[in-house]
Amino acid sequence: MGLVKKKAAPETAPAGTEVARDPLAALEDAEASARRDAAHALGHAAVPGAEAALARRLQAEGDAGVREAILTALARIATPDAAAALVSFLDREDAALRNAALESLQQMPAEVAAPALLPLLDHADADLRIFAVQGLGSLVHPAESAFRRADWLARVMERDADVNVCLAAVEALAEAGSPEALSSLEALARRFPADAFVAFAVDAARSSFRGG
Amino acid sequence: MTDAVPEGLSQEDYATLCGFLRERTGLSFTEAKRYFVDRRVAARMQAVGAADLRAYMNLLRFQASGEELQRLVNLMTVNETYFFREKYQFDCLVNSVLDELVRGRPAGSRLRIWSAGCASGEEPYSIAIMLLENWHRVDDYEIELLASDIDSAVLDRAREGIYDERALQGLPAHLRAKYFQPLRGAVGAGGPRWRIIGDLRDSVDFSLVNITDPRQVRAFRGVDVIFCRNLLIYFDDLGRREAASMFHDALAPGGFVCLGHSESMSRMSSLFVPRRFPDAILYQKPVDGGGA
Repeated sequence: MGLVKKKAAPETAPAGTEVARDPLAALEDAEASARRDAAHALGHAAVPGAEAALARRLQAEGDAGVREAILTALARIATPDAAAALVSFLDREDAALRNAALESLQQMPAEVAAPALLPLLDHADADLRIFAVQGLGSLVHPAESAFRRADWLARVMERDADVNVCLAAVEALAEAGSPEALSSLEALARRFPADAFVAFAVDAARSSFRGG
Repeated sequence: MTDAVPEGLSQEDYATLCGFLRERTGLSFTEAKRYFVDRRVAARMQAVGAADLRAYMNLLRFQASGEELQRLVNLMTVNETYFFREKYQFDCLVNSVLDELVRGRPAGSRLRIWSAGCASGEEPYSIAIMLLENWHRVDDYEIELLASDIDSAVLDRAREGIYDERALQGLPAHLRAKYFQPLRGAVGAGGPRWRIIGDLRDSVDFSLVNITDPRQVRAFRGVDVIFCRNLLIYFDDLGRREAASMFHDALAPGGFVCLGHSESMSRMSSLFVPRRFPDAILYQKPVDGGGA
């Protein structure tokens, strides 16, 4: 025993030798590996209706590897429909699925993900507003929309009634380093004068803008 | 065709080419790598006589053999490595991980280790040497060493197993004497060279694989440990996430992934659980498959 000697004629990967299957049909295959490959294929080809089919499958999917492949495929497709499909999972009980959907939105181009997330800033559920803030705060922004991100988050700090939503915005701004939002930070401190944590978070953000 | 190096690609052409390479290989090149990409593409365009990028892209896309795409990929991948690089991870393998993996497995059963992105072979051969020298149960199990790369030229070098002084600098003298043979007449401009012994060359199964292509990765199943070090740094976020999924699928439940020291699985995928061992941190596929 010990190290196994390789075969005389090494096996080669079966690339391109298999019969191509309709990935939309394969998404419902009984085998997890077939569903995962179908999701991967849909992420790499423009197939009409792929977003809805992936979202339907994600709803029922129990295999972690397939779920990951579906989420990655939606992030790669990166159409408004794909973003909307991911947003629909942000209110699920399953925390792992919620977080994975948010991460997938964050990996989309900002011009696709932001329009899907912005309406959530006005949602009645504060948890969804927090997700929207976290999502918008960490999108991979081209420089021009970085300024708009500060605007979106400033609006949250000035208007949102829930202190936790506001604090999520402070955290996102501090991480992004957006000194143009300084006046909104000051406004937030005035809106919640009795809340010691708001004062602390605003101070911390202010220091981070100054590089301190 | 002229000897002059063509001017750099336009921004649009550069984006088209990089998008194509990302799609077909998972390799990601940003504007910051433009100096690197421009020169290599220009050299290949000259070599094949392509008048412009459009003509060259047609060749890359539609050449039945895929030969030109493979040549370009070979040029685009960097293969700097040496024996026993980041040795603490090999220490982790022989001091902790393998003993945990074989717990409850009968003697004589198979262990499968995959070096993904093996370049010219230093990593899989280092693993082989570490196992033979330092794992006390090496003779109790059948250990299969798989190694893959997307670059066909470096795989040829890996199979050949010939190395210069620089590649062997981290190897203790007694191991060099035991596992390498000096090549006669090899002292020249390039310095002395050694060839790894046939027994070790025969113990590593090398293959050409794009780790983001599920059809190619399908040949790797039931793997116990994957070494993928300093490879995913060439991928974008989604490419890394896809590669992590491929590894998850290739691993047996409870199997491990070992990444480079600057890489973290938690920034790529939530499918794995970090495990801290005395020598290193590795990422484990949960025994129940994980996630969900």
